[in-house]
Parts: sequence; structure tokens; C-alpha cells
Amino acid sequence: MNKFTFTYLIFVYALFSIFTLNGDIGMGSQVIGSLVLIFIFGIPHGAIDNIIYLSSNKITRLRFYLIYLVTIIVYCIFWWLVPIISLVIFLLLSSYHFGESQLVDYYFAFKKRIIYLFWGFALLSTLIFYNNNELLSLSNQFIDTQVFSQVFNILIFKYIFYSSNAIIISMLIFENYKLSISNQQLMNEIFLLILIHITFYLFPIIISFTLYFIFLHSIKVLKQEFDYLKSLQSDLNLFKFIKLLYPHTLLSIIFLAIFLLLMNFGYINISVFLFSIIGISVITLPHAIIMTNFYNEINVK
Amino acid sequence: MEPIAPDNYVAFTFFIGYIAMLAASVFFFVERGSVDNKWKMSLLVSALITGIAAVHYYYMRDYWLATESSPTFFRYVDWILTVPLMCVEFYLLTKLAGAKKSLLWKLILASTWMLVCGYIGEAFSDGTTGHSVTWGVLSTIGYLYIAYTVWFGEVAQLAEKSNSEAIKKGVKYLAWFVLVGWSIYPIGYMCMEGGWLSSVMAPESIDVWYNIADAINKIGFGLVVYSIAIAESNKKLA
Repeated sequence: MNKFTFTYLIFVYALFSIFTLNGDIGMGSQVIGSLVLIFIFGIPHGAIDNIIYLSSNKITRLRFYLIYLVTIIVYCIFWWLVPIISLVIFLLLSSYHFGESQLVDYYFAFKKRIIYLFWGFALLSTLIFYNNNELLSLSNQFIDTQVFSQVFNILIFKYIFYSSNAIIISMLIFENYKLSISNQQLMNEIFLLILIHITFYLFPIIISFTLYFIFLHSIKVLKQEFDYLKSLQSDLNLFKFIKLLYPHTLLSIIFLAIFLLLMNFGYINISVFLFSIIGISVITLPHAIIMTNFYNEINVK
Repeated sequence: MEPIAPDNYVAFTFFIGYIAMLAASVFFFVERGSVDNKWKMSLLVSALITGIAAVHYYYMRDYWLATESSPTFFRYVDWILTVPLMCVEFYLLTKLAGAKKSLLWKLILASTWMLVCGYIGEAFSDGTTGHSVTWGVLSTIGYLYIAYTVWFGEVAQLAEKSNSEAIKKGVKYLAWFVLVGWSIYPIGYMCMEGGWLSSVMAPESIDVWYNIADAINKIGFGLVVYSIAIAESNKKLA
């Protein structure tokens, strides 16, 4: 167990106690609590993609932003043309990205990219499997997301849930057998998977995802980014790091607010749910690519 | 004496618990002679933990058979003696790497806090969720302090500083006992009236969970200490 898992454990326990006392937590509180955490940790973890990428690649700032924005626009067009395929791409991409950030410290004997993908499959399928009814009712609540119920089909996810969990545990045991990961590391990973299962089973989908996304993903990535930048710039401290994070974080929040206002006044005619999925996915695509590049860089180092 | 029903799992685990604790105690006492002098105290403490538990299990078994109710009082008397002794084990293991007495007292204080809050939560329960959760949370603060200390705090750092692979490995295993083994107790705690699991598990299952947890933790804890002691003693002989 590392400190991220320990923090996660404390928050899961605290929330579980609140749930037991109150019986439930209202949807409004869930969304507000999640948004606050996402604004503080979630958005910042992708807010220095430019610094991370430019520090190790010979490319002009202008070109970087251009490619970054074009990628986002192309994915938006994809969403407009083929929403179901775009959603599937998003799920695949997120799976890989989450798996990569979780397992990047290991040197696997087997193809590491396949292991990353299956870890992510296990994560997302567990989230969707345990909270399928909630997800379906959320999808069916809005006309423009009803089509997603085809993707979030319980029969499909039941299969992915069982197979991906079985495969990732087998893969980790195999890696342990091949001495790529130690007994302690294997125990850590299995403990974390069990903890994730318990969390996703106990809590509603928004809280489940936020807990994972913030404590096991975003904060961990922020730490990796801090360590990397510190290796390049020895006088970097927490304050300076936060100063690096806030311009794009602020920009993202302003853009988000503008979009929400436009939606509110009817200038953009899509539901909040669809907007959230599209918004997260189009940001995830370039971020995931940059993070893969970043992990390759730190592994080489 | 009334015959015990074959599906009386509570009585069954009390019997098994009693015999297992007694056997473990004898084992640790006897094996004390096979290890180097500096490890004798650790094995003695292991034997004391299971020995004290065996005596309590003897009483708890009879109490259960006579009253068919949970022996909460005996249970907590047992824990208030044995859990701080488990903390003593952490101290003894890391003492060789420079652990100070203050570490021992901090761990003992945290474990006592954990148990006193747990006892109030359980023994003075009014059947409400509020009471059960409040004292459960307070008790967990003590638990989290111990878990933090053995995983990342003083104990972990001292183990890391020691030159012995056996101690490093042993402390890691004991930390797993604290993290996973000790987390079985809250399952039992939550089975009591007003607890989160009370709607899905009968209140008497509280003792099954506690008995399983005790067997795993006390005997397992002792066995880990024993394996470190043997490994280190053999190393010295070699």
C-alpha cells in the first residue's frame, strides 16, 4: 500500500460513515463535492501538458497548441458524426490511460500496453457493472444520450467485468511468477483492486468515479509530474508548482463556465450529461497521448 | 450439558479458537529455546498473546454455551491485554534498529483508544446507527494511526533503516496483518444492532467474525515474528 491508497482508504471510510449515518447523500451534494475536487486536483493534473511535453520534445509552443487544439476539434467532429463510436473510443482511451498511470512503475515481462489496457478495462467495467442501473437511468434521462444505453448494456459489461478482472489478476500473478513484480507489489495491486471493487459497489457512480479519479489517479499523476519537473529544475517547490498549474486550470474553468452559460441560455442545445462526456473525452485524448510520451521519457531516464 | 448443534458456527469457532490459541502458545513457548537470545522476548510476547487469548476463549466458549449471547466483556478484556502486546512486538522488532520507548507508548495509547471507543460503541449500544457509527469512527482514528505508523511512519522507517532483510520483510507482513487482518473486526462490529450490516447478518455472527479475526491475527502475527526470529538466528549461526 502506498500513501495514495492510504488517503483513498481514509476518504472511502469517511464517506461510508457519512452514508451510513445519513442513509444517502443528495445528488446536488454529490455533484458539488465532486466538482470541487475535480477543480482542485482533476483539472490541474492535465493543466501542465504543455510544460511536460515541451520539456522533452523539440517543438515550438505554437505548434504544440495547434496540434493540441486540432486533436480536440477533430474528436469533437467525431462526436458529432459518430457518437457511439466516439464513446467506445473514449472508454478504450481512458482504460489505457488509467492502466498506464497505475502500472507505469513496473517493468513487465509481457506486453505492457496490453496489461495497461486490461487494468483499465477492469476499472471501468467494474464501475459500470456495479452502477449500471444508475448509469442507464442517467443516460435515458436526456434525449441526446439515450443512444448510449446500447453501449452501457449490462450483458456486455457483465462479460467485460468478469473477463477483464480475471485476466488482469492472472496477468499480475504471471508477472509475479516471472519476477517482474515482487510479492509485496502483487499484494498491493490486488488489495487496491479489492478496494476499488468495494468502493464502486458501495457508492453511487459519481462519488465512486470521483474517489478513484482524484485520489488514485490525479494526485498520483500530479506527484509524478512534480518529481519529473523537480529533476529538471531543482529549485521547484510546491508553491512554484501550483503557479505552473493554475493558468490552464483557470482557463479550463472559465471555458467550462462559458459553455454552461451558453447551454443555460439555449445557445448550445445539448444535455449536461452529453456535454460532460464530450468535454472530458476531448481533453482526455491529447492528455493521454502526452502522458504516454511523458511515461516513456521518465522510463528512459 | 446440552449437545451443540452442528450448525452452531459460533460455538464451533469458539472451540477451534480456544484449541488453536492454546496450541500456538505452547508452540511459541517451546520454540523460544530454538532462537537467539535477543529474539526470546519477542517469542515470549507471542506466546503471551495467544496464551491470554486461550484463557479468555475458554471462558467465552462457556459463556456462549450458557447464555447464547455475545461475551463482549471478556472479549474486550482479552483485546485490551493482547492488542497492546502486539504493539510491543512492533517495538521489539524495530528496537534493534533504534526504536525509542516513545514509539511503544504511542502505539499502546492508540490501541487502547481504539479498544475503549470500540467497547463503548458495542457494550453501551442503544441500537441506533448514530451511536454505532460515532464510536466506530472514533475507534478507527486509533486504528488509522497504528496503520499509518507501521506502513509509513516510525515503524516502517526503522525497519527500512535496519540491515536485516528478515526484519524489513517481517514488518511488511505484520503491516498487512494490521491492514487486512484487523479490518475483519469492523465487519463484526457492524453486525451489531444499529450497525450497517445488521440488516444482512444476524447479530450473533459478530462472534464468528471476531473469532476468525482473532485466530488469523494473533496466531499469524506470532508466526511472522517466529519466522523472523528463526531466520535471524540461523543467519547468526551461519
